[in-house]
Amino acid sequence: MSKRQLSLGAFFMLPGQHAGAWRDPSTKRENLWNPGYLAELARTAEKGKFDLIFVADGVSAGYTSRAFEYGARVTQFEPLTMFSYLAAVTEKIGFVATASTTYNEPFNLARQFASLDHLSKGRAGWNVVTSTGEEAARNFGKRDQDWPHHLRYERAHEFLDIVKKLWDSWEDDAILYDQEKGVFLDKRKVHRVNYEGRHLRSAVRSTSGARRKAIPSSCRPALPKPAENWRPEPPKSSLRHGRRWRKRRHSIAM
Amino acid sequence: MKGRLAKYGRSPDELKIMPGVFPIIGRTEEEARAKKKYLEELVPLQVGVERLSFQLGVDLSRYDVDGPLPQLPPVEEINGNKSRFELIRNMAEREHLTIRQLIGRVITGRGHWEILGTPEQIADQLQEWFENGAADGFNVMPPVFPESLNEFVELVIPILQERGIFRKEYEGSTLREHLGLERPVNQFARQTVAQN
Repeated sequence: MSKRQLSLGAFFMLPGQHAGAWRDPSTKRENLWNPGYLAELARTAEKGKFDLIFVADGVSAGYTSRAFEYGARVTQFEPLTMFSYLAAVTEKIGFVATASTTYNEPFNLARQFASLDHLSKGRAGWNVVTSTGEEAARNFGKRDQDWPHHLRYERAHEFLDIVKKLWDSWEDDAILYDQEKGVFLDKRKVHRVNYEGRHLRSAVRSTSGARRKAIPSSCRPALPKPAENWRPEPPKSSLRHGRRWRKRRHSIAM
Repeated sequence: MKGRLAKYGRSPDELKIMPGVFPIIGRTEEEARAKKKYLEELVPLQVGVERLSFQLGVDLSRYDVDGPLPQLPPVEEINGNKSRFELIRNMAEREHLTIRQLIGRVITGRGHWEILGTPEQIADQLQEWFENGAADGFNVMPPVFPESLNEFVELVIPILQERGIFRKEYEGSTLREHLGLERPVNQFARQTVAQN
C-alpha cells in the first residue's frame, strides 16, 4: 500500500485570487477573455498533476458596489462552457464547476453536468451553492424576492436529490443498440424521476443518456478533525491558520 | 465531519476535505512578505471597507479603520454567507485585529488559510496539516495568474512529490479516480435488485 496522497485543486480566478491582482503589470487585459491563455493555465495545472481545476461563480456582478467600479473579479467565463472548452485541450485533470441551486432548474443543470462529464470522459464535478442578494433575484426577474437562508438550503437539498436521481435515471445498460433486432434501448432501465418537494417538483425523464463514470456522491468539505493530540501552531512567520473551515457547500465528483 | 459518515453507511475515505489555501511564495520569507504587502497596497482602502462591511452586515465606513470592529449583528441575522461571517468575526476577536488589519486578511485570502514563505515553508505547512489529519488536500488559490500558479507548480509541487505525498503521474483518468472515490451504486438499479 502506497503512502496516503494529497488531493490538490487549482482554484482558478482571473486575473488572480487577490483583489489587487489586476493592477499587477504581469497580468494583461486581453487575457480576461482569452481561450488560448486559459488553455495554457489548464495545461500548467495538469503538468503539476493537480486533481482538479475549481472555479467559483456568482449570478450577480455587484454593480451597486464600489468594488464593481474598481473591477475586482466582476467578470468571468461561465464555468460549464469554460470547462467544456478546457476538456478538449487537456487529458486528465478534473473540473469542478460552481453552479447555484437557487435560480437554476434541476433538469437543466443535470443535463449540463452530464454533458460535461461525457465531453471530459468522466472528469466533471459540481460545487453546489446557493445564491443570495437582491441583485441576483432581479437578474432572474424575481424582484424583491431574495431567499432567506433556510429556504435557500431547503431548496438546495431538494435540488440535489433530483439531480442525483436524474443522473441515475438511465442505467448503465439502458442503451442496447441492438442493430440486428432493431432495439435501441431497454425502456425498463430508463426511469422517471418522481419528486414532490416543498420547493421543487419533478416527473421527468432525463434526456442525457447513460453517463460514463458519473453517478455522483456528494461530499461536504467542512470542519477538519485534526489528530487528538495535535493543534495548529500559533501564527508563525506571520502565517495565520484558520482553525475552522466551515463551508456550506457540497462538491460532487460525477 | 468524517465521523458522521458512518451514520450514512459510508467510510471516512469517501469524503475528501480540501480547504482553500492562499499561498504567497517568495525565494525568501522576506520576499514573500513584501509580495503580500505589495498586493495589499494595490487595493484601495475604500474597496476593502466596503467588502468587509458586506461580509459582516455592518457599514464600517463610519468607523475608524485603525480601531476595532464595532458590535456585530448576531449570526442569525446574516442572510448571506454565515460561515464566512463567523470565520472573519472569530479571526478578529482571536487576534484582536483592527478594521484595517482585518481588511488585509480578507482582501488577500478572503478569509481562507493564508500561507506565506519559501517553497519549503509552504510545503511544510501543507504537509503538517495533511499528516495530522486536518485535511485530505487543498484547494490552492494562486494570488496572481499565471505567475503564482507557475510558482506553485514549479517550486512547491516538486517538494511534495519528493516527500512522497503527491503523485508524479496521473494513475487514473477520471476525477473520481484522482480523488480515490468509488463510483456509487445507481439508486434505480438498486431498486431493481431489491424488487427481484
